Amino acid sequence: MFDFALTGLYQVFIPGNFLVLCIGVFMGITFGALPGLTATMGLALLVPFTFTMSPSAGLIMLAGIYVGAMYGDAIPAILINTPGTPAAIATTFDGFPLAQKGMAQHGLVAAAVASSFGSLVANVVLAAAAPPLAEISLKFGPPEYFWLGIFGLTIISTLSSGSLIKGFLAGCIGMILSAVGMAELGGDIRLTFGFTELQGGIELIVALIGFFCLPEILSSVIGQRRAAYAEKMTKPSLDVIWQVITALFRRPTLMFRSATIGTIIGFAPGAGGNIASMVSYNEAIRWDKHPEEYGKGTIKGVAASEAANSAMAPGSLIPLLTLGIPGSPPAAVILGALMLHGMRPGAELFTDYADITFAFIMGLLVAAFLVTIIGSFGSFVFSRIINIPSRYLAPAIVFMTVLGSYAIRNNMLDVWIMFIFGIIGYVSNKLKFHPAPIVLGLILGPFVEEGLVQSILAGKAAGGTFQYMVYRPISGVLIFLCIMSLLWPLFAAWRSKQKEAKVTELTGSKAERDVRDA
Amino acid sequence: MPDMSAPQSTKQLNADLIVGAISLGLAALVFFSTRELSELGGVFVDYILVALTALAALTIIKGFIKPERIEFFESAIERNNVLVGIGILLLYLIFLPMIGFLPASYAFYFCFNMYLADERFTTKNILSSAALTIVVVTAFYFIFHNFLEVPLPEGKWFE
Amino acid sequence: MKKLATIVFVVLCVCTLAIPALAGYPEKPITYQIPFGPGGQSDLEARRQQPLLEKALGVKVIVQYKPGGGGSIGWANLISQKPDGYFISGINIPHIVLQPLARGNAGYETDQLKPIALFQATPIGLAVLKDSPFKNLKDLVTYAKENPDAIVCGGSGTWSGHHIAHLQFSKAAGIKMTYIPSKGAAKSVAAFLGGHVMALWGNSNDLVQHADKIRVLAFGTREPFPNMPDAPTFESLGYKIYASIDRGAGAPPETPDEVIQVLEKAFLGIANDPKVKEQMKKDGFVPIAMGAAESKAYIAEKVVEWAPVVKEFKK
Repeated sequence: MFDFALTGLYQVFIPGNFLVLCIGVFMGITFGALPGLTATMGLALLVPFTFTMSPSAGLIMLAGIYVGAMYGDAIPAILINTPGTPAAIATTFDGFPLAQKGMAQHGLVAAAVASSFGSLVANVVLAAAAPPLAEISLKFGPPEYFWLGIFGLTIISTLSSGSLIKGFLAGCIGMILSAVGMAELGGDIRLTFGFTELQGGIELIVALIGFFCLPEILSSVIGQRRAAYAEKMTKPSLDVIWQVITALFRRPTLMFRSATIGTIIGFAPGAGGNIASMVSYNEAIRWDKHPEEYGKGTIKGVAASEAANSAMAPGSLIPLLTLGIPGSPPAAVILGALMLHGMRPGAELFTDYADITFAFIMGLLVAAFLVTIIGSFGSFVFSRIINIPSRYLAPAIVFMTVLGSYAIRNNMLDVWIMFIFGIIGYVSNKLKFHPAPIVLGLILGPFVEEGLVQSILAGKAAGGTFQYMVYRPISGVLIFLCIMSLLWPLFAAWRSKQKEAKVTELTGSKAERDVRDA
Repeated sequence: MPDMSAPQSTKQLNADLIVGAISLGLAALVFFSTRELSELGGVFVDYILVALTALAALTIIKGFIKPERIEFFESAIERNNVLVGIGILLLYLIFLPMIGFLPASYAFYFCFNMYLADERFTTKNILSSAALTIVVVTAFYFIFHNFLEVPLPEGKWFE
Repeated sequence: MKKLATIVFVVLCVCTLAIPALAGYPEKPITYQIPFGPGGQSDLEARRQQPLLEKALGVKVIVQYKPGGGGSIGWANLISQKPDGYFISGINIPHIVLQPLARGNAGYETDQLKPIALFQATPIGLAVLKDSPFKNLKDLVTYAKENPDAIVCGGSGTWSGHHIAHLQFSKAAGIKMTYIPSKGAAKSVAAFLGGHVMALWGNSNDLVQHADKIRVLAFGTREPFPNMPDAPTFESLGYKIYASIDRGAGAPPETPDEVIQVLEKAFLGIANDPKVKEQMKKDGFVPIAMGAAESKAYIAEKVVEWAPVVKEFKK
């Protein structure tokens, strides 16, 4: 296998191929960064260009696009609180606060480094252990999807640090929204109220732009007439890059854990990386000694999210290359490209077509490095973007989001949905009702539903739905994780109260301390 | 301690009650729209409705016991700003399919830019606004429409 | 005499005016809509055809995606477009037949889509894993008779080609089996390979791809499937089940016949191209070349065949 890896690497560095890789990475970053354009769209638009190239060159370019997009989506997430693709939702949680504090460059560099790291780890796993992992991924059946979806929902308990009830309420609303449109498994049309365009359901990216981007503009730029997007200006410098890199290297557990989560979620077929970043973020909070730092702007949060969502990309290619089952929509497009070049997924990819396949995999690896370089140096330019006065920037952003929302499905209704969600998001924020759980419900609703309905059907045939859904090894593990995840905040609260009690015992109550320290 | 110095130009709202009430309304709406679904299509919706109703009820109860009060708008100025902003956006979306993407976008960018400027309607402002509008909007239109071949709405009035 | 000459002259003038209108098509780029997302089979076929279409028609062909509703959004969009031949869409059978039948209001009616040609058939087969206790279709039927609803078959979607095949076969064999839909062919194959369903209603290209891991109990074709000649057909086992997913192209209603003819010629030219046929066969598809009239008749036939099945099983 090593010699294949070396030939693959050699292929990547052929001048023509390397150029194409760089172009791919640039395009990927651009597509990832423009809200409304997604990695899938970028790949789909550029696949025809790859026809004229040799299979290796074409696939190397696609590799560049995919990896680039997985970093690119962090840029608007950090700068304007808008995830460039759904995979970057969790990046906004700490990314935007960083930008507010004038540390946008920190966030951007952290995103670049974490993205590269995540990509790297996942690629090594892909190259070394794809076939056995693919077999494991097949073991995920309907009950596993259901419990995985529920596990994803338990993240709400961490995200809604205020009121758990309202958090889960938001999650339920999100799940109802996910039911709009054609029921994939029942065939009926639900909740479209006569709008035939809604048969396709509510497009996730449109909802994201509505919930994340517009409320920010409405409240700060319009409502409070803030002259610039962030409260403090960002002053980019070279030091920052070095600082961030060293800071992240001092936290290997955070980085490895995030990358692993991303890889695993990547290869559960169809689970989609959209939740990888959120699960990773959640776990980062859970295992950190200072969880209160999250949400206020720490590069740890950005790193956790970005490492996971970048690891998801090679992860989703594992079932693709070995079994021909795409683990995510961009993987589906890559499948198409492979088929068009006459390469069929399966054992032959690693034997007859090994040189091209490994050129692709090595392309993913090298692209990961390129992302660090381009991302770090690009951070100088990108972070200055939010220094542009908002009266120029905000109209441009709104204009772009309208364009993007329309472009996704060529549907004016999507633009209206974005607008309406923008207003809902704004009102929600005012009512202290955070929109992140709604989005989580919107994303996870289909998984939970698919798992539930299929399990009910299969369970009936097998004699008992409850048994079918619970008495299985992987399900058991997932159920355990769900319970843990739900109870953890209570445990953490109890633990911090104990700590507080101890401190009080030793040094007097907080009020007394405050007086003393004043 | 109540803050006596802030002008009470906007009233305090009980956030929990509002959220709970809206959620219940939503649950009712969804309930009545989904009674004719097939078994497979309806089972998920039913489960979620149960959860939604329960949580909404809990929120309302909390609204009576320990309400979370918020001030919606910090001042009348803010309220007016937001309403005008929403208005401009609304007009943009309404006119988009009517006069076409490019004209509507030019108008929108120009108006929005002017609205956000601190001093209004000086010649310098108007000119710089117009120039920026043309450059930014046209550039993006070009990239999306001509390079990426994404179809954009043509004006109905011009057909 | 003068009057006759004038009349002839006028008629000639009118004719020459009309000729550019006809001979001019196509002059602008044509939009080829795919009612599904990128990366799917319909997309792949369109991409394969794109350069050949551009050559045959002499204008640019722009591929556009309009996914949603299993294709219904795209077809609803198609019927609202101008019937001038500059907007066409991929069409899929049985989708365009079953969706209006099953949904009541799918946003379009089957006869509103004017077919141009059908160029690819994907026969549907019923398969089990190699280690399954069912060695042939008879085993399956016997087991099902003794254990109603116990056999779990996977497939893609509800009221889809797979689902209809399942219903038709169950009726023909007098058995009851459980059908578990998945979101898309790839996921149904994953569920099957992972052992979560006992049998799979699969598309021929997926079955060919995993041929070494599965055993096909029967194909819904009239002739044995060329890539797997040993697998029997339903017909040869006594069940008149013909199931396949067919892909083609269609235009808005009212599109002039002359325009359809030009498009038909282009599509059929590609469908009959030996290189294209070779590629399709290698991937596990059956190349077909049905023109506009033939396709229309075929679709009408399918409507007649499936309407009663939908009515019977839809509760």
